Amino acid sequence: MDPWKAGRYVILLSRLCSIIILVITIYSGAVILSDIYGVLPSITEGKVTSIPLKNRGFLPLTVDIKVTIGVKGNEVPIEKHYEVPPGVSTRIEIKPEDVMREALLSILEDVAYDKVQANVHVSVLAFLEPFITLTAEAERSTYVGPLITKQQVIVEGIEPVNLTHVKAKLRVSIVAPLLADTRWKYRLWVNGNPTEWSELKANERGEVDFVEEVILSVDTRSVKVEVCIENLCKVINVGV
Amino acid sequence: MKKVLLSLARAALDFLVIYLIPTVLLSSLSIPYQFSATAFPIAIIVAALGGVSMYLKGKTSCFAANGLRSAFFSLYLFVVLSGGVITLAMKSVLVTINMLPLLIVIIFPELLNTVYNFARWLVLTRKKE
Repeated sequence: MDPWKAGRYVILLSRLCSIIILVITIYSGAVILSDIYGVLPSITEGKVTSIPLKNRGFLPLTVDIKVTIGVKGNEVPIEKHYEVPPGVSTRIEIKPEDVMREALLSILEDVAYDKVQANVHVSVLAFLEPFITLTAEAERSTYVGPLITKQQVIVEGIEPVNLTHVKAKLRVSIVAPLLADTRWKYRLWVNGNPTEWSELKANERGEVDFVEEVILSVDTRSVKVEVCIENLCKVINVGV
Repeated sequence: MKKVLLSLARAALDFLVIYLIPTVLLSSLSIPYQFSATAFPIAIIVAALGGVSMYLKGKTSCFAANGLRSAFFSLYLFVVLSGGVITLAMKSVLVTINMLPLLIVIIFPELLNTVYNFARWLVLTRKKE
């Protein structure tokens, strides 16, 4: 065969291949881009918890989602990774409360009792192997906190034990909805001495409720309740 | 006269396909992407070289024109696709598309065509000498 003619065929073949690759990649990319574009604002606003994602294209798709919540210079990233072969559906689970909880535990001190401004930054990295990488980013400013919406210590009853001491029954109630199912610990400071740490778990509504009986000296008649969530401890003074 | 008209038609068709249709499509589909300002003169050069190669069809210099056209077309693709990294600001979403591997796949046949045509032009020119 004439080498020039063979060269001509090679060029034609490579053009044909590049057109096929171009069409497949552009189609796959456009489909993924429209899907991402459709759901990204909803993720940023925390409106969706589960997003169906189907790889309608012809190329294997890898998706990396990173949600970053920034409060007072502290940034808490939450990352998720998905691999979706062509034609396969998957669900992207992003529960805003999970993201918030994880983020808030890291910045607990800032948001425990105050409302603070937070930036929610969502980035989606979709890799259509091996030709295109799509990065979509959206950011919004919001307010988070206060985390602890209710904190109450009630003296339910006092009984005299003897001339110098009384027995007091205390009910401690704390509500922190975003900290549902997290582990807490507490101890009491009675007559200036701390008791052993006790552990408890917030229920699914983020409520913690416990009752303690303490014997107090009539001279002091005050008790401190120290409650800790992760590294944040709060001491509540109670006059009896 | 017919040759000149055919060449002009080829140049116009080239310009229509590589520049006019894509720009019209981008604006009609509301895709917030604009071709670089340098894309326009390069598109004119590509179209003109397409016309010239049509005019020179059958002559040795046609290969040189073809090779040059492919080289400029590669440059045009590189400029139009912003070197393979496109950034689109769509309302509140910022989209970055890194398509460098795809750009290489698209440009490769054009570069191959450039080499082929220049090689053929050189061989034929030397044979003549």
